[in-house]
Amino acid sequence: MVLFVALVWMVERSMGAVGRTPVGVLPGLVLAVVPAILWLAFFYRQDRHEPEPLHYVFGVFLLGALVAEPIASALEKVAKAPEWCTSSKGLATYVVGSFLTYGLAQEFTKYAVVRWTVYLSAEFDEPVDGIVYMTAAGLGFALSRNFQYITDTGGVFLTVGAVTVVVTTLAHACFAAITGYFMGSARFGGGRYVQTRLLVGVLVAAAANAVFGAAHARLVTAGGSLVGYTPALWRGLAFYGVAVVAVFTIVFYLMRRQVALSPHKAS
Amino acid sequence: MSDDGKNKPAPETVAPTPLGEKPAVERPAADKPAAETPAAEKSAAEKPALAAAEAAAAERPDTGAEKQPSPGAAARAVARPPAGTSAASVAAAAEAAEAAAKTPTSPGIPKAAVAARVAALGPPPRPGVLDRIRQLDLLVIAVVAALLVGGWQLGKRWGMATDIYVSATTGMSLRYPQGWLCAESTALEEGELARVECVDPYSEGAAKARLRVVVVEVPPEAAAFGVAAYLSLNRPHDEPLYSEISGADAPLSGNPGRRTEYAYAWSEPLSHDVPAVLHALEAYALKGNRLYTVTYASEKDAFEKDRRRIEYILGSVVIP
Repeated sequence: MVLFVALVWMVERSMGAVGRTPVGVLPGLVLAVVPAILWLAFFYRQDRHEPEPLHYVFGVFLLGALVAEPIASALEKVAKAPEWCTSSKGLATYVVGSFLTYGLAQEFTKYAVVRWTVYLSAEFDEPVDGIVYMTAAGLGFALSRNFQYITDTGGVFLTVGAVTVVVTTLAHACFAAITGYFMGSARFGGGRYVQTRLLVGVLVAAAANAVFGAAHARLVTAGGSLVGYTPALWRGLAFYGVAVVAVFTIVFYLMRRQVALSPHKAS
Repeated sequence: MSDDGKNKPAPETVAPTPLGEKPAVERPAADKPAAETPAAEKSAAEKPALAAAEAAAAERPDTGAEKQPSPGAAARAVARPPAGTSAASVAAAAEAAEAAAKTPTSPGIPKAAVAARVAALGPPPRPGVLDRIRQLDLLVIAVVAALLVGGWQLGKRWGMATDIYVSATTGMSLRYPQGWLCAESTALEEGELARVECVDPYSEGAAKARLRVVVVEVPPEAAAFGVAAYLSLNRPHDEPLYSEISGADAPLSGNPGRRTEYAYAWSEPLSHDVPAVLHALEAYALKGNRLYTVTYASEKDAFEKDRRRIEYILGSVVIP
């Protein structure tokens, strides 16, 4: 990922680009796809004991991009998410608004594409599969959203855009992974009310999404002016660094835990 | 990847217990493990029967759920009961295994394994994990939908929240949507007493919705028609591709004034996009020797949706 960002930075330098650079469809697609595929490969490789069929994982990835994201966008518009979530509102208001609009819409649609496709299938046969499939859905979702971010805004600061894409891709994957962890537990765990973890998973992921969104708005895009938002570079990078490490550590821990419970471990 | 994998055969009847708590995969209701039934938890005596059935199941080739259990495997499992197993339950399991051995192999439901389990488990099992997950779908959807609707309603209320702008130099005030970015200009043009520009940072499209308030000092002898002419001449000069749409007399904050709607081309600073067409509404009022102008502009497609908001802003104007 660092190499990817460095490469984009070099391209930006070689182009002599200052300010926002319009990005066409093909370069935009490359910028959005590369981090998503790299993260997908990483998460897929974590399922060492009984890897999932690639076409299932890729299918869920595509559903995340082509089904979950458009539905989430529509729900966000209906819920007037942008009006809710303005940085001039208090932090608590922002987080609540973000949870009730962006968080729920995004995490529920990611959950839905896994729940109503592979979740009850024979291939979903170990706890870690929840994380594998949900991260695939989350990465597909992120791909679609990042592509729009890059191509629809009339140009991006290329390096900043690349960093944003890398981090938000991981963030979407990790929020989805939280739901995936609970989905794996609900399917294979013990206890009378264990299946309610499905609901808990969606709500926890939505809350994480909301907190991340609020922190992002406060720390990365706080440089508002009449010409729109400009990124607060160093503060943004520091936030991204901390967020990436924190979120990734949590998800990696959850993943290890689920892998350890795999029935295929001994074989 | 169709719904729920209802047509997937094999794992629904295979019985590994990955977490040591529940079976790793769902089984038919009649084929539940002993650990899920209270009766079964009472005694370890039923273990051999389960072991028999599971051994039989394990010996099946991996070709689908419809395979018959191997009677030989069941018999072997019964022959080696775990320590502490009662003679009665061993006998029951052996009976079941014998029945399994007599049942002819067929591609249908593994009746022998089911019979062995039923004999060992006694009371009917609770609904399966998958059934409970399916039942909970409704709960998940209902809770998420309720929260989204609640968020939508709250958002509608909070979305109308406003901040107030009060001009320090003229005392004029108005309300604008909360979250908009406003800045008072310090580089005033000749005759200007105040100028403030607000932008909605979250509006979609190539151009953002914007609000401009300008207070200008006019000569004491200026008449209303003179002011109208002054503004009509200024707009085409200030706004590229200016085109007037309509105009009508309308008071502003109880003072006589006029509203004019027009369109013009606009390009966001630092944007490489093609210019957007903005639809604007300018309302002005003349009071004393001051001309108060409030202009709201947004992309032509968004403008009609914004009318309620525009009326609210114009209705909140207070000219001292």
